Amino acid sequence: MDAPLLRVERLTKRFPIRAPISKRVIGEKTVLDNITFDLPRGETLGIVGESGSGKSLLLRVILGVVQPTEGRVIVEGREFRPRTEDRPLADKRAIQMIFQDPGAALHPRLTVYRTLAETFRVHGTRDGKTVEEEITELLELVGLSRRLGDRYPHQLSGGQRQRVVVARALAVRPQILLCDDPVAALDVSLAAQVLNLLLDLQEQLGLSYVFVTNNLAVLRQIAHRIAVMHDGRIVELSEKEAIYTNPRDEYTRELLEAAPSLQRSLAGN
Amino acid sequence: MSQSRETTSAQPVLEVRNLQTVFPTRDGLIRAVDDVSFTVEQGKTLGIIGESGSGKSVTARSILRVVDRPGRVVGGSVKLFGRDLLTLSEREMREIRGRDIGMIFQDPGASLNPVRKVGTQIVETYMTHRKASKNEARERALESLAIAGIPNPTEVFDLYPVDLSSGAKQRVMIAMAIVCRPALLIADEPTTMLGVRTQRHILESLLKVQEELAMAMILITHDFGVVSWMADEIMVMYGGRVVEHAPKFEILRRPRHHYTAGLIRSVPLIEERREKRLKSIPGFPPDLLNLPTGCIFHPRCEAADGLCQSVRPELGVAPEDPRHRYACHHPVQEAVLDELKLTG
Amino acid sequence: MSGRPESLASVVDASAPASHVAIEASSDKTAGRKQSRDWGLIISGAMVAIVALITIAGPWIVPHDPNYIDSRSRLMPPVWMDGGSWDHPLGTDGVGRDLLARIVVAFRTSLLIAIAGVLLAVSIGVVIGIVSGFLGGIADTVLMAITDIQLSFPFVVLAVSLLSLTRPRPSVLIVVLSLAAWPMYARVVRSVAQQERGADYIIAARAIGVPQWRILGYYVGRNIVPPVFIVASIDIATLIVLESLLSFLGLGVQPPTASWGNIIAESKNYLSSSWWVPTLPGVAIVFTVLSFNLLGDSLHRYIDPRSAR
Repeated sequence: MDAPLLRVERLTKRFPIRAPISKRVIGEKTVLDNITFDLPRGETLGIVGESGSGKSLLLRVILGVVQPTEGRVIVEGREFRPRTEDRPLADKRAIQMIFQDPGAALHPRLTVYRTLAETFRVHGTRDGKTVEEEITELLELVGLSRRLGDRYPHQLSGGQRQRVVVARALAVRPQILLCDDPVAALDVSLAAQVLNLLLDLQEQLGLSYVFVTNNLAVLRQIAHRIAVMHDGRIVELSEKEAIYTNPRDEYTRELLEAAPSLQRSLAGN
Repeated sequence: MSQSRETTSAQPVLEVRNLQTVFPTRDGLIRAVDDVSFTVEQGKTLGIIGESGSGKSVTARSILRVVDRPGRVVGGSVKLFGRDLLTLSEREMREIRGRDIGMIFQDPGASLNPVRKVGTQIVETYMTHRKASKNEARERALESLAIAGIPNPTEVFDLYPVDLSSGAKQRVMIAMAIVCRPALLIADEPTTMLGVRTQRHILESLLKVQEELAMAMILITHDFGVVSWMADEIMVMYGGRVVEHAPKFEILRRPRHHYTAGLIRSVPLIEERREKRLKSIPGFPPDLLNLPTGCIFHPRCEAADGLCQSVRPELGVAPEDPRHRYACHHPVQEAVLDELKLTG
Repeated sequence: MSGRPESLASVVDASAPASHVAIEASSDKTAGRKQSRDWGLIISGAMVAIVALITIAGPWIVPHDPNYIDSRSRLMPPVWMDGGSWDHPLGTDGVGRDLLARIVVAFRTSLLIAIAGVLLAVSIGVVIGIVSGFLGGIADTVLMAITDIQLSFPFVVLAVSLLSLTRPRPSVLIVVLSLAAWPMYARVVRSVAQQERGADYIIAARAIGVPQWRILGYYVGRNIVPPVFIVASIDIATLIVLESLLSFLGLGVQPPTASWGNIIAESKNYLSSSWWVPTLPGVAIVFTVLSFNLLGDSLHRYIDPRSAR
């Protein structure tokens, strides 16, 4: 009996639409519509969609910071409480998240060290290590030197900030990392570094990723399976290669054709 | 204008020579644009690509003389049909902007007045620069909206920015930028904030507009996919300097600078998965206040040696192709394209 | 007062995340601030230091008892005018008290009352603002309604009626002044807290399991301090003016305790003959108010998340 690491079942989120002045509810907008998928251990599920497709919201619902209207989040066969505040510490350790804009994901007035130390304040350290040792180890894991610990986020480059965000998420040794387009805001050379880092970490630590982006090229590099989201629904979900070679949904085809491509520009002439 | 159109074969639309823009700060002088030269010809697109802090946007702003304080242009020339914009008065410059040079920026929402109809805003732009009746201006505005790919110009004319999608807003910005039929259009990351499909449509419109009006265009972007599709020539900037500049196919097939080659290698491709790990450029972009000596890319470069650490390479012309310029002591020899295993 | 909402909005904006494209320009902006920040801060800092010095040391160095009545030398002009003497450098008032001594002593009265009023207002406003902005929902609706009512109530009418009900005492005066000031803190703090609520680093902290009280105190609190500090320094100036106004109307600091407002009130009849008596305390008010306003403005430019150390 081998349950998938993460199972998302019929997740639905509806927002009430209110009249401008009376604030009476006059309708509902479905922003997540019956989202269901499995994520096996050590794999990456890529979710591609444009802004407004609900893909970022989906991650926040899984994380438990936004409440679903319906549906369940199941980890290793056990249902998680919808609110992260209601989840026991052990459950919180299972799922962590990294963000699109690393500048916004770090408190501007906390040094890297203090940001990372927060985790150990809540969860304690392991194997009798000191916080100092844990943080040094974490920074090394993401390829940063301990010296950077004394810096504030604005004193770091975008790529360094994103590594710190990854380090914070890894501090609790999660099994599932929710990635909200973590390379979209980075310059090309740094984006490649961060993608490689995520691939290395997956190999080293056996992490599973739900990787949300609007860039199909990035998913080709990192995903095992891909779900295409449009208007809050998954319109297509299949093995990675099938999405690129044999897209079944019209919307998927449009996304593939619209993506600016180095190779196509070269080949077209 | 007609006179200048005739002389284009002899004279480029824009000729930038040794442009220098600096930002004095407490901690030292930032050379945001350091000795940048290039030309743009009629009907051609120059793509400027670079990462944050490379100076690509400051270059565009220097051409338009709208550099944020305390930055200022301290050297070089920017000649539009032979007339040096850097020597003009601010009043003359205001006439140039919008009439001879159109501009499109990343965030269309920020450049439109939210409480005025978009049509009115385009009409006003036209009438600032041309003596025209209201009706004539309206005709031009509608025509420009149509060229910019708005399917129903007369309806959109009477809408407010809030009524428009971000893609439609960017089209309105394009219409406003071209209403005076400028000789040069500068687009700074025009599609960075847009969705993939909208980006495609906007870029297609830009190409169409350029063709129809025979404009010269400067496209600034950090996206290799976009620039490889749109540009005729690509200029790569790094730390305020031009490191390589060549016709598109030349630079993509045979980049000579290690930074360019590194960038091309590190782009994820949609057609196939590249090697298991992308070949990323190690290290981080340079600190503009504390640039490395010699070649500013040497700390991140695999081919760097003592020469690169001490001597700044000149931006020289490739012996085999006079249109290919690069600043490297040990240029890349192999073709990067082979590594891409092009399937076309 | 009218300049405030705008300046506050930009304080709040400064904590908003910068998108990646802004990074290229951000070094320029930092540079701009660095260049211009120092002089404003140095000058206003020096002015506030002078005010503080007079407030602390003043009463011991002035040559006269501010309440000593020398009826033989009434309405003496200052030393630089005909008939003035170094014995009374700024002259004397209508009953012969030394004007310099009274103005200097009034620094202490006015500043202490204004600072106490601001502190009380900050405590009320910060609590209401955090609760309102971070929790949202019904708490927010109710608290903001109270805030709006307070803001729309004409302050002078409120102050006059409250102060005439009780015997005017400094403690009552402080409470009344804080009533004028707290809604602004509630609003500023609320808008910061609202932004914080959705910030990615707050989401990350919640996901780690940082308790709510710590998120409010440690994460949100840190971002509230700078804007509150800026408003507070400008507010000290505002409350000094209000205190002077109330004292002028006879509802604030009561004679014989010297306050700039009551010095002016007592001497307003001499404006045509002995103009310096009402004017000199006015100069003290202008200097003090200006110094705190300038300090607030310079702090505003100086304090920014990206320049935090």
